[in-house]
Amino acid sequence: MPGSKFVYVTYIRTTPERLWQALIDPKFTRQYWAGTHQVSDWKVGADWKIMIPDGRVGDSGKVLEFDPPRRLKVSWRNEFKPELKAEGHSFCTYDLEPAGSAVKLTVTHEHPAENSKTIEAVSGGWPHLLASLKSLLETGESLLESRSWPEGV
Amino acid sequence: MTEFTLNNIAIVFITASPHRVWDALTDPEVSAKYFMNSRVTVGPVGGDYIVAANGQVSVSGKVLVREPPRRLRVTWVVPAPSGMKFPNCEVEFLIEAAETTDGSDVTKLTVSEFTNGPVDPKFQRAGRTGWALITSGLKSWLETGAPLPRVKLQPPA
Repeated sequence: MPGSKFVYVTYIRTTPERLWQALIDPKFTRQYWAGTHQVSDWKVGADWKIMIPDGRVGDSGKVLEFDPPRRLKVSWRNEFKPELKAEGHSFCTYDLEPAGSAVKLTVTHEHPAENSKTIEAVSGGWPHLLASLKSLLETGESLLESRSWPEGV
Repeated sequence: MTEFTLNNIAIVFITASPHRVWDALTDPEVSAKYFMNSRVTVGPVGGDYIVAANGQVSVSGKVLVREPPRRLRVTWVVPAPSGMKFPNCEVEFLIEAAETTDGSDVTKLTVSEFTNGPVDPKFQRAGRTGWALITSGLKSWLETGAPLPRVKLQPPA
């Protein structure tokens, strides 16, 4: 299959409902997603964007699937790096599945272009961000380095 | 000889020192807490790498590289279902201290699985899920002192 794809799977000791909230609620995302929060009406077809703490829009797109607490899919275009923005929209899907008394989270981030720079960029970010999300839900504390936007970016 | 190429990769960041991560990867008492109830025993270079639960061996390999607390590379020999043949497989555990602004211990663990031939996509997916469960369990154990709840994995279908 042509295109670029990043897949990350992690198991988190939490409930699907709590994980769902942690993925979209600003008071959670600010703690593990580089200080950012998402703005959306959270229904299929609605606009969706990630806000950088200094007020810039980080990424934007539309909500394509919204099925709490199982599946969220958004289109996703970077808005602050011209070479990534030029690639147009990628697609990010979150699948949440109960696994015993834990939850299996699969994040799939795809772009129709081969060797997509967008997918290369997010591949470097997701493991740290999702590790921090897991720490936050299991210990109450996210990873320190994920709590604020990196300087100079 | 076919070259070994990357088949699967699992990356996890853990609030723990590289030494603690190394110990967790090589101490059978600790591995039982996160490695699907299995005891992992790691010999010297050239010695055995064994994963076993209740005396039943699931992985039997040899130690290729053993550099505490940085790098462990082993051959990964698992029985293939009847009528199938898996390519040769090597697994490398790379342990790196992540930079932190306050000097606290965060470790980046990269588990890379190399094979010298193609792997059926369904076994590749199963491998990815397995590594996710192991690395997630390791992180939970080191950060909270409690193992992840037991998760029953479905065999590849």
